[in-house]
Amino acid sequence: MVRIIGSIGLTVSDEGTDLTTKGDVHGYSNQNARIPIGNNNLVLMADSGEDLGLAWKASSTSTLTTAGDILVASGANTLSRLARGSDDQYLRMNGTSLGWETVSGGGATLNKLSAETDGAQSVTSTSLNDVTDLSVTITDNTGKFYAGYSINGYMNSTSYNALMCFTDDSTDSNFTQIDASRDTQVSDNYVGDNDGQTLKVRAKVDGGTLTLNSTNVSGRNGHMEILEVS
Amino acid sequence: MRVTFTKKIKCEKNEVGYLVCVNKMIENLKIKFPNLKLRAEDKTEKIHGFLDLIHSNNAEKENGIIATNHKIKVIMYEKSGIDHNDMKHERAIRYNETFPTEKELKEAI
Repeated sequence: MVRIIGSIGLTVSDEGTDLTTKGDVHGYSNQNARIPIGNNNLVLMADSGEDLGLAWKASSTSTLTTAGDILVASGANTLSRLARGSDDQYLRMNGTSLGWETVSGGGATLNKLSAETDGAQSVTSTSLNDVTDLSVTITDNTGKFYAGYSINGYMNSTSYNALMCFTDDSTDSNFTQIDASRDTQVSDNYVGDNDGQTLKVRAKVDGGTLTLNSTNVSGRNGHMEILEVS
Repeated sequence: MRVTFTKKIKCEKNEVGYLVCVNKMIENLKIKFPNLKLRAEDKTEKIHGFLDLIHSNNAEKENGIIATNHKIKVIMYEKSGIDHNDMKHERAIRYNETFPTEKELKEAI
């Protein structure tokens, strides 16, 4: 047995204290004292309300018990565990409470404007050609823009240039164009200028065959559509 | 001139499959119409028109073969230097033989 003597020395009545257990630490109030080891993962924290001015308290390690947990304060100087949410849930502040919530809709809505093509489209046209069924007349573009990122283009084994674009007039003077090359997915978006304009997708290829397809909307393959984000 | 029809053709629904499908159509057209150029093989070649087709997603078994409907458009230029949108297009040339009919094109493809 080891007898620890406090730094201020022993008074006549103070015979020191015995540390009896692994992890015990030496404390002092008005005399030397043993602070017994705390439970696993707790930390020794100053606490003026305790006789020895110290207490074993929850730590971040003891609070977080499960993968995905988040450490939050449930009150002033109070550690709490926010258990991980479910798939596709978002962390949301509600008043002063933080929690995982299922959010419907989100910040934008996605609507299909055009008829959906019934499959991929191949074209050998060397001048701009309308992509079948992908045409829509804008009736209300307030606060909206039109996105065609459901459309991908890829070419055959030649390296000839191809072009896909959204256009809003028949003269092709005001549109965004994108070059497509083999295995390159292309997409575009368009901000409508005026109601009543017809928005469509056009494409051409300098040589060989251009195939337009889509894989990134709803995980479906083999179709194209014009989408509106509002 | 624009000829539109549908035809069931075996076609795999992937990048390679689509290309094989179009190549086969071009080859078949060449057999019946050797002078009709509907696809440029380089970036300067002039053409009589072009193919525009949709490889439909709906497949059916026909004579033991899984085939899908193809919506096929064959566009042939009416005037040299003018494309199907009546826009100037220097690579457009008029086919100087009798334009094939829908029936002939469908059979050839």
